Amino acid sequence: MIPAEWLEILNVLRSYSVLWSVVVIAAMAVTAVVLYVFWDLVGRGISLVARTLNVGQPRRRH
Amino acid sequence: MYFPIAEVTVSPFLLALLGIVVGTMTGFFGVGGGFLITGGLLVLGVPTIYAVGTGLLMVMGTAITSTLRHRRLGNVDLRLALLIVCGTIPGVFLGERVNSTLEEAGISGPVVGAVYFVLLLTLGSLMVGNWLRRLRYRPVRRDLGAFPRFFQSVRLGPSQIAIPGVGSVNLRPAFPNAGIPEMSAVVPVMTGLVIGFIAALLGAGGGFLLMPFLVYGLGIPPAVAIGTDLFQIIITGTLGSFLYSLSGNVDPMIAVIMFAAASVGTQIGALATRFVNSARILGLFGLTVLNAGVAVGIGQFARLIESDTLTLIGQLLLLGVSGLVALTIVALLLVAAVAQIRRGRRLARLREIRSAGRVVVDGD
Repeated sequence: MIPAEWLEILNVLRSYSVLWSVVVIAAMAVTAVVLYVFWDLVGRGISLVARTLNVGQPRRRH
Repeated sequence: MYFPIAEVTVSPFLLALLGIVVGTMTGFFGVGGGFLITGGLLVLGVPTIYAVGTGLLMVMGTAITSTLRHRRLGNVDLRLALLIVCGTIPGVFLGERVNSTLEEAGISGPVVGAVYFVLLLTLGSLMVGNWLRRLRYRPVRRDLGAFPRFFQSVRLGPSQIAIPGVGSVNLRPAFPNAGIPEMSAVVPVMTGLVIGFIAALLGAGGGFLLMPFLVYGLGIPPAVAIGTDLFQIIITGTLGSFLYSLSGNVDPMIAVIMFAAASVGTQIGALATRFVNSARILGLFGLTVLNAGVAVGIGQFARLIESDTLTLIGQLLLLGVSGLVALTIVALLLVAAVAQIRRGRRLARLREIRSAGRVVVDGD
């Protein structure tokens, strides 16, 4: 559930249609970039662990 | 959960589930997934105008993430993409205006539903039919098809124009990344206009129409088609969501919940493309589009006769079959990953045996 204060802020923002549109699009763009960076880091982490444990590739002889 | 902007109560679990399914499709097929998002939101009970606006916002997000991932691959023909965008921008304005007018007249829902139904059903049938033919005959085609030959050779307007201060501009340029030696610039502009109009009317990025058109209509390699298509989807999605937000017809909370869930699916789908061949990809894509068309048709019919049972069947069909396709993608990924691990171990064992044999021979 959304707190009443947040709802009030949302309603005030929505009354400024251009500002609201810019905020909505900017929020989505930022979310997209943040999620891309997050999953990129997760992918790199998994690759690093897989390389360290020699999983999914021929074991190297030392 | 109650969403105050769209004034609708929808389970966030169902939204997240739809998001994961859409994300898996997006990562796997390289399209924005708008046809599934808006269709899904419609069957979940979100009012049409909000489903369209919210769908466009989510499409924009997924397109940004996918383009960021594809940027390293260089799969974008920038000249072609920019010409398409020149047509897309007026097309989006036109589509949004038409949808708002339909909404004021109170017929937006049935019209959008009907257009969706016809488009998805036609496109899905064509893709599944083409996939089945390829499975049966496996033709080796070295020449262009009839459509690419027509679109690449059609002469529309002058071949060049003089712009003061710029000089002579070639209106039949080459598109090297797309492998097109010469094509009238009017063709991509008109394509963009039509795609932009339909995208804004339906609340999709237009990828489900543009990607097949670039591949089958213009004869562009699928990888370049996906990259160029994604670039265009960012523009359509941003412009469309801006216009719909101006009228207050976007619910960002629904979009964020679905987008966060979709990001998980996108990773799975993108990973799966490394292991699954393209014939299977096109077949599964066609099946998903066809199913979405049938589900939207059932949903619209259910609203017409006010049948809750039919509405439920529509929801189950859309989410169920799309979920099954997403599960198939995950299963194909797991099978391929296990096979690769086994292959790696077998290779390592072979090397060990070979080197052990060499040691024995050296010892003798």
